[in-house]
Amino acid sequence: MNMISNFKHSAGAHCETGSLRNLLAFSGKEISEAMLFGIGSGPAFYYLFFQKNHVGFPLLGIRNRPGLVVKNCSGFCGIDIKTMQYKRVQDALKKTDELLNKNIPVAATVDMMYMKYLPEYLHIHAPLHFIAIVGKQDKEHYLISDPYFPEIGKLHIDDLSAAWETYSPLARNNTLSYITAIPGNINWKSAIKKGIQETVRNIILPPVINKLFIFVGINGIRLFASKIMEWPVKYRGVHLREGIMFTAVGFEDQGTGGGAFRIMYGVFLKEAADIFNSSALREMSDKMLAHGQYWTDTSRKIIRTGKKIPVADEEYEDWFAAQKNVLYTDLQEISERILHIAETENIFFRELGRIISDL
Amino acid sequence: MIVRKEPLRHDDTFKIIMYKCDNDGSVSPNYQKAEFHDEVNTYYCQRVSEFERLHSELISGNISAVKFYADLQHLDARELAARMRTCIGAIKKHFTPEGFKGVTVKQLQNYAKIFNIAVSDFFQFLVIDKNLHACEKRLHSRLLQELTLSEKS
Repeated sequence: MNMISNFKHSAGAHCETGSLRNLLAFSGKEISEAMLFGIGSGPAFYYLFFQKNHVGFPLLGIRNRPGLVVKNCSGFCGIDIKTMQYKRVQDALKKTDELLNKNIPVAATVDMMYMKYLPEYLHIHAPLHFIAIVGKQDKEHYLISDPYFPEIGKLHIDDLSAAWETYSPLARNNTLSYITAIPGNINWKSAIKKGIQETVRNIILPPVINKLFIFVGINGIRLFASKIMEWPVKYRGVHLREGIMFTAVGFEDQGTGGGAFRIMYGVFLKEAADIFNSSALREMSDKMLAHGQYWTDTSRKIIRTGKKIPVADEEYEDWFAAQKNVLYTDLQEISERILHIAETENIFFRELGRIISDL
Repeated sequence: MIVRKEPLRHDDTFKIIMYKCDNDGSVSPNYQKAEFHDEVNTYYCQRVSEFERLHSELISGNISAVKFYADLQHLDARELAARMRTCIGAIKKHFTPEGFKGVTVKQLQNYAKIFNIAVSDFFQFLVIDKNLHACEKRLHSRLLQELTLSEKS
């Protein structure tokens, strides 16, 4: 068999929303990626100081938990998505083959390290990458619709197996999903309302909970801002440089659409404003777009700071002795910008919550 | 492991979808170069330095081949233990050259799967000249590796 018929692959800004959009389009429902991100309550912030990212810095989350966008879109729009988890990857592959034979594309969450069609710099252990399996070329190769790649990718069965069954604590091993039914008329207003209310709850936590979860939402952004000055104490040389650079790359180029997903959220609010015909939502959309741009400018500042640190480890100590004050001044500015982001989002999402409850 | 003398260069043609605000205030998704695409080559250079540092540690006998790949791919003992479905202590043991001698073939096969390499990559570095092209085929769940070297046309 080859690629399932009538599947149109389109690249996307983000893997989860991009894959979901392609799967929905295949099922006859054209929904923008931004709309799915908004209804799926995408924006969030987590500063997971107890979990390290692949360069050794604390893990930052700028969107909700992977898989939740699909779950929320499914729940709020009434889309039936069947999800199954298998103990062994062979069983997941067998089920995939069955579904492909019925002309049904399959969504899977895999480790990006094994996606050979992507450029080398994206070969990192990130076990929560969303793809759609859309065909089989021969007995050994699967055809992959990956929003990060402009064409259909080809993956050997061994690579897909290794990527799908990693046993990483974060991974959703051997889990596959597929769309079973879409309602004829989706109640967009209700779905948007629910999506926004969920986002507001995720960013502005209820009073007692935000004392317990100081690393989540607005408090998480504030905590992140307060830790930036500690970077040169905790990390040195290449690790410091890579960590700083990766923080900015994570905000911009790791499937966020730019501005730590906030620009995409601004586009969602614009689409929502058109549906509700609400000038208040349109105004909020403009504010969010400007906020996303501020986030991009902050990322650029982070990159400029990282670039100053020498690439070679052996040059670091001399450089640090001479440039310590410059580095701390830069980090102070970044910390202040991140604090500004926290305060902006604090005001913004409270206001958005009020507006949406009145609509 | 295949080591190319020629450093990896970023292909500038690779683009991603980014949302950009236009001057008229409209925002749309566009195919464009990543915001920090010019940093990718620096990242590749950093990877080369990191490789050289770990390679010299491995050659000097300070670390094992498991530790070499784990550090190169930013996998710590905790993450690796979860992926290997074993305890952190066992992984830390395999990080030492002495402990590496006790790793079974089955465990090497699992490590090879995690690091996306062949089992033979734990035992050799194949340094190839820039005018050569290496084609690698992994067989029997990475236990065997078939390498074909040819001149670049």
